[in-house]
Amino acid sequence: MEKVIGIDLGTTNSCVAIVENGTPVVIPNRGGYKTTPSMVAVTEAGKRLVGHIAKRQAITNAENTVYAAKRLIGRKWNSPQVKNAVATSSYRIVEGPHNDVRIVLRDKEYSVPEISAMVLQEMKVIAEDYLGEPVSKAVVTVPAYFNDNQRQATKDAGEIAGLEVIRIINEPTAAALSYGFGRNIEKTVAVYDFGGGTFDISILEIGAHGVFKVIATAGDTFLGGEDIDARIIDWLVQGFKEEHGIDLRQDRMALQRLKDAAEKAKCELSGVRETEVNLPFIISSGRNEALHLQRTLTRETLEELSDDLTERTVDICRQTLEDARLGKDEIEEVILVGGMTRMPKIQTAVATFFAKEPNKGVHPDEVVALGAAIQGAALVDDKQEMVLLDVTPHALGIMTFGSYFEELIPQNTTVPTHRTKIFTTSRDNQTAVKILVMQGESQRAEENELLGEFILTGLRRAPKGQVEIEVTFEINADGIVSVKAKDLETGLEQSIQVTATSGLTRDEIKQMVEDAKDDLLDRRTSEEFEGARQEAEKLIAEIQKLFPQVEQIVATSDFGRDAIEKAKSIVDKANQAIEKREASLVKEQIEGLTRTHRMFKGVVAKT
Amino acid sequence: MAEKLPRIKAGVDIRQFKLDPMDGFLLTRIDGKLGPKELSRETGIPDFSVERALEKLIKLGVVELAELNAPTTEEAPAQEKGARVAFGVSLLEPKYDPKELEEECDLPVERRKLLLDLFYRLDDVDHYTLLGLTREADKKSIKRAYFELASTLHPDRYFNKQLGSFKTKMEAVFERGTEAHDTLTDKDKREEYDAYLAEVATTRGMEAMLERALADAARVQAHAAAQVQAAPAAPTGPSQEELQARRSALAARLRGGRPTQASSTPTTPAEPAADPRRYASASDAVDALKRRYEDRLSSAGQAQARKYTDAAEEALSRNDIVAASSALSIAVKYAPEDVALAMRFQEVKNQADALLSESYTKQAQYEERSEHYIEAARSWERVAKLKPDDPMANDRAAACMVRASGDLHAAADYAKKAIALQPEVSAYRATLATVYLEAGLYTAARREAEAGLELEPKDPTLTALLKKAQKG
Repeated sequence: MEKVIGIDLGTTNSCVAIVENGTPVVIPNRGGYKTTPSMVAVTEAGKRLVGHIAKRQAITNAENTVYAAKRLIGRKWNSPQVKNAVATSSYRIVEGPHNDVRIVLRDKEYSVPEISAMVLQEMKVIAEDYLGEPVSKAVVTVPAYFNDNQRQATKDAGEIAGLEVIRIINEPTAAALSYGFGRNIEKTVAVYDFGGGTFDISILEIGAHGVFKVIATAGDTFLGGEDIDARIIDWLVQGFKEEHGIDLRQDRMALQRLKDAAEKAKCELSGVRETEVNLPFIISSGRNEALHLQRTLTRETLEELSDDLTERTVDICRQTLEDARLGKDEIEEVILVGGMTRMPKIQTAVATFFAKEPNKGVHPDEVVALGAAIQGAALVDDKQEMVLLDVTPHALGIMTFGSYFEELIPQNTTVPTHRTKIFTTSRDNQTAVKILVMQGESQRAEENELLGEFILTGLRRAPKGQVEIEVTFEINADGIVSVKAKDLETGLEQSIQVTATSGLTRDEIKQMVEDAKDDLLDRRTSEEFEGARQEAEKLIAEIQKLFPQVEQIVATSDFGRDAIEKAKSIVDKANQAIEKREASLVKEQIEGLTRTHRMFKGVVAKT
Repeated sequence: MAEKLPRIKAGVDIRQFKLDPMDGFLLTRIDGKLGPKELSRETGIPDFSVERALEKLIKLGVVELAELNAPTTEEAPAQEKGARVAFGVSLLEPKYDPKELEEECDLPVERRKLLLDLFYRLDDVDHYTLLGLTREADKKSIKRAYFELASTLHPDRYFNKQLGSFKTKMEAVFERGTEAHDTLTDKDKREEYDAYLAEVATTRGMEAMLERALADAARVQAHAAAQVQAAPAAPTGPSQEELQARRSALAARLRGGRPTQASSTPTTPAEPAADPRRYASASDAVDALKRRYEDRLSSAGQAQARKYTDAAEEALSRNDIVAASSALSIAVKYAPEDVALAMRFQEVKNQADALLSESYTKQAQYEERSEHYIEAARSWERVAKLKPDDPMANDRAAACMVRASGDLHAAADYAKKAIALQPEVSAYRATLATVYLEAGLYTAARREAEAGLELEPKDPTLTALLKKAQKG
C-alpha cells in the first residue's frame, strides 16, 4: 500500500507527518526540528534555500527571502490583502499576467504556488529521507475559510512539487482528527485555531464508528500572529520615530530585523511578564551616526496592542455557534491549535467565552500535520475505520440580474450534496444566458469569488421571464463542484466541472457584471412579480364576483354609478400592470384594489 | 409472569420469506421491547392488522414471543455487517434487478445488496426507517445511526476502490441519510416532519379501518345472503329446533293436514306457531317459513345494526369520526332497508372523507414543498379519489405525476377531470397540455394550449406551451 504523507503548510511554519503501524508521527527534518519555517530564499549565487537555512539568512538577504507566501496564495492582485502585503513585505510583490500575484527574487518572477511548491518539496524530501522511499501522495491542509481558488492554488503547488494532493482538508478539522483518532469518544468539540496568518473556528462532532462530522466552520484568512507582530512593529517604529524622527520602514533590512524582534518578543511574553527589544545599529542618522533601538515591552502592553484582534476571534466564535444553532454548553471540549494560542491572554479569552478550560493535550504546532496524515491513511488503508464528513466552507451560487448573488448550496452543507433552482430569462428575446458560478456570503455578486462561467445558448426567443432554466449544483465526495444549466423547454443543457483558478480580478468581475447584464438570469424580480400578481388577481376576482350585486344596489344614485366606474378603472389598471409583468406597477395597484374590495364587501353586507 | 413480546428470531434470514410491505414495515419496528399495542401506535397500522401480521410472522418463524430481555434461543451466526437488519429496509423483497449485483467493482457483495436496497427505496421510506430508528429515537441514537450509515456507505470509505455505478448511488444514499439526520436532529425541522408523518399515519390508519369495516360489511352481506338462500337446508346453530319444527310442519302439510305430535316445538310463544293448518298450500307454507326466517334474521340483523350504531354514536362522542363511519358502514349492511341509518352513514362518511382528504392535502403539500413528487402525486390521487369533484386535487395529481415522470395516462385522466369540473380555469388546460407534451402528443397539446389561451389570452405559460407544441 502506498504511503500518504500529511502536510501542514503553514503561514510561518510547516510540518509533515505519517501514520506508521497505525500511529501518526511527526517527521523531524534534518536539523531534528519537527517544524520547518515556510521560508524560501534565493542567494546571490542563485541558489535556492528553504526552511531554517532560508530563515537564518533572511536579515542579510531580506529582499530575496519570502515568508508568509500563504497569505498571497490564490489571491487577486487587486485584493486589499495583497495591497497590504505589498506595503509591508520586505520582498517585492508585483502584478502577474493574469492579474495574479508574482514575487520577484533576484530579478526572476515566481507565482505564489511556485513558492509554496518549494516548501512542499522540502517537506516531501524530509519524509522521503525518513522513510527511505519515494513519496508521491499527500493530504495537505488549508485554513477552513480558504475559498476554492485558494484551495486549487494549494493543489497546484502540490503538483509543481511532484505530489499528488489526494485531498485538501481544513486545518481545524485535521486538529480534531488528531485529537479524536483512536479514542472512541462521542463528543462535540470546538477547534480554536489561531495560527501565524489565519484564524479558524470549527465545530465538529466526533461519533461512533470513527466518524468526524464537521458542523460549522468559519474564520478570517487575514488574522493571525503576523498581525500581532505588525502591531509590535508599529509600536516600535512609532516610538523610534518620536525619539529620533526617523521612519524605520524606509529601510528593508531594518524592517526585517524589527519583524524578527517582534516575533521573538511576542513568543517570550507568553512565558515572562516583560522583555527587552534590543536592536543595536538599527539605522544611521542623517549625520551618519549609528542609532540603536532599545525598549521594554510588557505583557500588558502587548495585550493592549492586540486586544481588538483577540476580540475579533471571539466574535467569530460567537457567530459560528449561532449559525450552528448550538449553545456554549453543548461544546464538550475546546481544542487550541496554532502558535498564537500559547498567548496567555488568548487562552483566558477562549476559556471565558466557552466557560470551559481549553484542552491542552494536543501539540499546537504538530496536531494539524498529524490529522492530515490520519486522513491520508484513512483514505488509502481499509483497516482504518475513520471517515470525515466535511462541509462547504462558503456558500455556492450564481450571479443573477442586477448582480445579485443567488445562493444554491449554503455554507456549512455536508458534502456530497446537490441543489437545484429554477431561474428565468431577464430580457426580451434573450437567446443565451451566462452562468457565473460564485462563492461567498455577500448578496452582492462582485463581493464574492468567481469560480467559473459558461454560457447556455439556443434559448427560444420570448418575452423576458418566460424561458425557464434549471440550474443544478453538485458537489461530490471529492469536493469537485459541477454546475449544470438546463433549458426546461428544449431540454438543452450545458455543464461545467468547476476548477477554481486564480485568473480573474475583482475588476474583471465588475467588468463582466457590466458586459453580462443583458445575459443574466432573473429570479428576484420574477418572484416578486408572481407574488404581486397572485395577490392582485385574487382581489380582482373577488371584486368581479361582487360587481353585479353592487351594481344592483347602488345603480340608482349618481354617487353609486361613479363608484362603479372608478372600481372598473382600477381593475383595468391592475390588469394592465399585470400584463406588463412589472412587479412595482402591480404593487401600486394593490392598494386601490384592496380599498375597492373592502368597499364592495361593505355595500353588499349592508343590504 | 412478564408479558411476552414479539422479537425477531436470532439468525433468521428474513429475505427467504414472502412478506408484504406491511409485514416488512412492522418488522422494522419489532425490537423485543414493544407489544402489539405499542407497535400499532409506532406504525400507525391498526392493532388488529398488527395482530394478524404478528400471527403470520410467528407462524412463518420470523418472529417469536419472548419475555423482555430473555436470552436468545439460538446464537446468531456471524454475519457480514451489511447483511444484518440495517437501516430498516433490507428486510423486504429486493427491489433491484439482481443483475446489478454483477457489475464489476471492488465493493463486497453484501454491501452492494445493502446499497441497492437502500437506493431503490429512498422514495418509499421515511427518515426513521432509513436510519433504522423508532419514532421516539433521541438525538444520540439518531446520530449513531447516521454515523453508522456514514461509516458503511460514505464514498470515502472506498477511496481506493473501483465503485463503478455504485459510487453515485452511494452518494445519493448518503445525501438522503444526511437529510434525515439534519431533519431529525433539528428540533423545529423534526417537529414539522413528525407532524407530516403523523398525518401519513392517521390516513393510513383511517384507510385501514375503513377498508376493514367495508370487508366486514361485505362479509355480513354475504353471510346474510347465504343464510337466506340456504335457510331451509342449513340454518345456523341455535335454530336446530326451528329446523325440526319446519320439517314436521312440512311433513304434516304434505301428509294432508294431519298434524303430528312432533309439534312439541319449544319455539317462543310470540312467534306465530308453525301451525300448518293456517297455510293453504305447500308453497304458502314455504313462503311463510322463509318470511319467518327472514324476520328472524332481520331482527337479529337489527340487533347487530343497533349495536354498531351505538358504537358509532359512542365514537362520535369521542370525536372519532372515522371509527364512527366504519361502525355505521357495518350497521348499514345489517339493516340495508333503514333509510335513516343510511343517511346518517352517508353524513358521517362525508365527514370522515373530508378529514382524510384534508389530511392527504396537507401531506401532498408538504411533499410538494420538499420536492418529493412521487409521494405528492400519490397523496393528491388519494384526495382526488375522496373528493372526485375537487378540480384542484385532480389538477395537482396530474401535475405531480408529470414532475415525478409517472403514469402519463393516469395524469391525462386527472387533468381532463379537472378541466371537466372547472372548464374556465386556464391553468388546468396548461397542466393537460404539459401532460400531452410529455407524452409527445403535440396536436393534442396544441389544442389544449389554444383552448387555455382563449380563456387567458396572454398567459405566458400557455404561450410557451403552445410554441413548444407547435415546434413538436
